[in-house]
Amino acid sequence: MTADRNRNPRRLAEALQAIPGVRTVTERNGALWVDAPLLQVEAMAAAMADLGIRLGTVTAIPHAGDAESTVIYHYIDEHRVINVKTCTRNGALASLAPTVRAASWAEREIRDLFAVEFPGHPNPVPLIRPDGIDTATLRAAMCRPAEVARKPVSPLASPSANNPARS
Amino acid sequence: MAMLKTILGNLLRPPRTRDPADMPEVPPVYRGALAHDAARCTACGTCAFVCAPKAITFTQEPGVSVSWHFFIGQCSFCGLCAQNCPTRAISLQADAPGATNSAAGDGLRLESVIRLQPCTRCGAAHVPLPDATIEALWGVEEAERGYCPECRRRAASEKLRAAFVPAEEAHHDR
Amino acid sequence: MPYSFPLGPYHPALEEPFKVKVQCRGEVIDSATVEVGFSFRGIELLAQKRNWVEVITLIERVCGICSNTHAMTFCMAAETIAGIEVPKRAAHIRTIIAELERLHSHLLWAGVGAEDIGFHSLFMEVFTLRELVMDTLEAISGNRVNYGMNCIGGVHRDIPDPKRHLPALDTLSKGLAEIVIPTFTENPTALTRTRGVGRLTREQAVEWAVVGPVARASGLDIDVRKDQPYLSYADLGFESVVRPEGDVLARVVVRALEMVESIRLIREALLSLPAGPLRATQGVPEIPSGEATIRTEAPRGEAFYYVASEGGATPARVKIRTPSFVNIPAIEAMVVGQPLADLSIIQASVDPCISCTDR
Repeated sequence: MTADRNRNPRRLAEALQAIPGVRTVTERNGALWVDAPLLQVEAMAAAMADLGIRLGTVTAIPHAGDAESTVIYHYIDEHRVINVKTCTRNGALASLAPTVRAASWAEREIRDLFAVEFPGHPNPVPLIRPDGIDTATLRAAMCRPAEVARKPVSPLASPSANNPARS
Repeated sequence: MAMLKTILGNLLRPPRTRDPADMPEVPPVYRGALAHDAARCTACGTCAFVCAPKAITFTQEPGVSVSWHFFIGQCSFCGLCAQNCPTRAISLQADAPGATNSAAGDGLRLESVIRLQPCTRCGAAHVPLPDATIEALWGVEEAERGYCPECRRRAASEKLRAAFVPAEEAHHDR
Repeated sequence: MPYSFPLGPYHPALEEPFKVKVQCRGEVIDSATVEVGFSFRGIELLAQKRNWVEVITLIERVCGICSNTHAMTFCMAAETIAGIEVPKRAAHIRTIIAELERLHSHLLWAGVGAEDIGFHSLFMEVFTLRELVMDTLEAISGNRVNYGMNCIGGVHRDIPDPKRHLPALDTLSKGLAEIVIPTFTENPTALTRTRGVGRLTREQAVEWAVVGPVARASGLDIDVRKDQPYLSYADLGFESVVRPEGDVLARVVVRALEMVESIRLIREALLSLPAGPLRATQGVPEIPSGEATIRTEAPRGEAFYYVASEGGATPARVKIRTPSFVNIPAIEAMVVGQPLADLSIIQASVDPCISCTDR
């Protein structure tokens, strides 16, 4: 099976380093983290398909300042997780869905919740978002900082407040 | 044939349906209806801090009282309030929470009023600690009994200072 | 004359809303489209607005069946970021709860599956057995669902008398061996409805990237408990169950044999419960800046969590990828060429968990 080829972590790291756009490959918290702000996602998908590593899912983290988002592709080779971190360009990234089935739902969900476009997606219809609701259901709310106390606060500590503030 | 055997076997066996009364005993860790003991509560806010659905809230009448509120409709019965309460003022009962119309109000909301007391030294309103707690923490000196936490801290540090620094020297310092 | 037929969102077999829209030609299904999103609750957003204690209670409610998996996986991610090592006893207790949860989930599935093929007496038998597991979980945790066992750094509750729970496991083993497994694998009614139905080949399983029992029933030997052991699985030893056929029957058999393995794991963990503390930390947890990805084997397959912290009072980002999120789309591949009447059991054979998928 292809997964056996990747047992050697150094060979895997070399293969990851060779993907166009990859800056660094580091091992942290039991997983491989690939930093690639200008990643060519299709090249990554092809390289991972070659290695026989499946796409687990895709995470998007919206940026508060602009319309961009951090996007992390989580690949799983059964023995470890390989996280490839990149960034959207003009709020978009090329879609992996035409070649990678597992990317289809993940990309549709990110488009619904965070307004990241995936040009080239074969079926770009909403997955989570109901009809009649504008795009980016969670983007603004997720960017707002949470107003949560670090420690328990006695109601007596502030004379006027009834409750610790919560957003 | 197999079916016949099953039928005959079942004729001789007692029914497998369980009686309504045939319930497993309620485990000691069961998380049932919430109860709050105002005499033990110090209004520290820990229960509200750990309550994910915000079923517990506090309101206050400044200088008079603090009220602990609980709304059962928001409660998820995770038990974190009882587990984290430093004075064990909250406990989870072994009976299932009543839906409506319990003897204590409508059964959906609990309110427990914690009366504040003026500090016998500075007059600041504070939650009096239970007697047993005061005895365990600060001894039984009658004068300090009604102190607010701030004054008690002050009194304690004065005592500590007196124990370290001889009286004359302290006088000299001033 | 081709026609389209919607199954759901109000479901004949499951209590959760999801929709399979199929295109049929006569009795035979041509193609299918799965629609989800009917019970979206925005848990990933809410998790960013809750402190590190509250968030566990919230995450536990991602799923009503595998609730412990979610709370546990989240805690493992937070522990990885903070570099907290869970005490051995806590790891064993987490393993026991996780495997009990797998038992009750697989039994629930077996009951629902039996109901779907119209086999009501089997449903009754299975749910009688499931009640034993529920009673055991209640005796340990205090609740039948949402056990509230996990906290960052360990577990909340001990198992004071582990041997007490062994008789229930014996009864369960006997019930599985004498009733559930023989009925599903030998009874002609059950076999006709499951054998050769809803096939997903090994190639398709790779292509759709399915996980858990669905992947293992299609010949893919993947199981996080074996491939990347966590908690006490390395100590207890673990054998995965794989079948090559890829049909509904194979999925039934994989789950049934997994239950046997789970009972063995629970028994061994109960008997070898190490002494020691339940928690590595006290008080409100402080999670420093960092990020972690954690995988665990939930009853339905691999659960994946990405958790990021910026050292604040709340998590900075929690991404939840449940096993159903990757298994449900594969229904589209399984139903092609199958009779419409089998649609119900085929979609149920994936054990779809809809609120998990929508979050």
